[in-house]
Amino acid sequence: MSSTLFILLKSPHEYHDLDAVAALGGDDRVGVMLFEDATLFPVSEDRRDEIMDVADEIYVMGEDLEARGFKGRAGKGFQVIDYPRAVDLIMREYDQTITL
Amino acid sequence: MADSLLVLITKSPYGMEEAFAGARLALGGKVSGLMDNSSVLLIGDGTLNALDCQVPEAVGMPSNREALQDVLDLDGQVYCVEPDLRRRAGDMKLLEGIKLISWEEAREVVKAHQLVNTF
Amino acid sequence: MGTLCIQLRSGTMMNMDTNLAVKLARAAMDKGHKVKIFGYGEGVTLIKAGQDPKRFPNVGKEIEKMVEEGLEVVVCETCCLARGIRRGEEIKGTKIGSITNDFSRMASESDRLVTIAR
Repeated sequence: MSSTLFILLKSPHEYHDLDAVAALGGDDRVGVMLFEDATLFPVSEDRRDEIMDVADEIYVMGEDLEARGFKGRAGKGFQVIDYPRAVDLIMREYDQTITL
Repeated sequence: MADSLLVLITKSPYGMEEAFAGARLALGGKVSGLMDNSSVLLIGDGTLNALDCQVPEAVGMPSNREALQDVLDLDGQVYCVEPDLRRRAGDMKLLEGIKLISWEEAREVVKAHQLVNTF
Repeated sequence: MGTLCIQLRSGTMMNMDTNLAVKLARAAMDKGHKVKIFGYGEGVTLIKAGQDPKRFPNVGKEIEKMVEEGLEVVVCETCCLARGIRRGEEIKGTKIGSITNDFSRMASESDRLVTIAR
């Protein structure tokens, strides 16, 4: 089975194309890596479930979450990562990356 | 090492430079001979770049239609996800040579390329 | 170890995208990967010498250091000219090049491509 790591940068209040993640990912392994304002997805009450529905694994850049005041509040289903971990995910653990 | 690159265009024409830049990049890959398997996949608002009736002169911009035509002229593939296009443009005429595909086929197109570059 | 190509299309002071690109590049290099950054569109501002953002992180200085450590940085000449950036104004060790000759080669030499853009 192939695997795709989707990269999102935009705030959940600005980005409304999660359907594209689901459509491009299909039945394959789908990871989503959240940076910058996209790290607000796990703490957004109305978007949190939506992103969990389209991804098998969700990674949140810890320093971006912390900077915005939400350290420790990502919750279950969201793996908080650092840059070295992001590199391993991109280089070793997924076949492709697609930024949306 | 990679010999295939998919330019994934998600942005509409003329609001920003993105879609034009993506088409030029796919063309550059073909011209270089290093990325001979350079294709373009239009999804979401990016499907509007496929319309034949664009009039970029109206806003004084270079033509996205011509940029895609250049890719087709070099035997590059340009794919357009049909459901996304129909939702936005009904049955308006497309640039000749663009292949209308389903999401299932789009996933196969993505898999057929090692690298994906989003615009 | 592999090769990572990062295509950056946001300007240095537009948002945090450039910082993200530089941090990702640094972490990949620290793990022994080769890294190449191609600046396209607004991303070409990355290589402008003399950046002085005062209280914000100076990505220009970071790029200068990383280039000495093996990072390859090339930006699109057409995009530079459009923004009035000319040869000779780039950070030492970075290059003003082209999509056809440089980006295509950089991508062909890479195992993964990450697009950083809005």
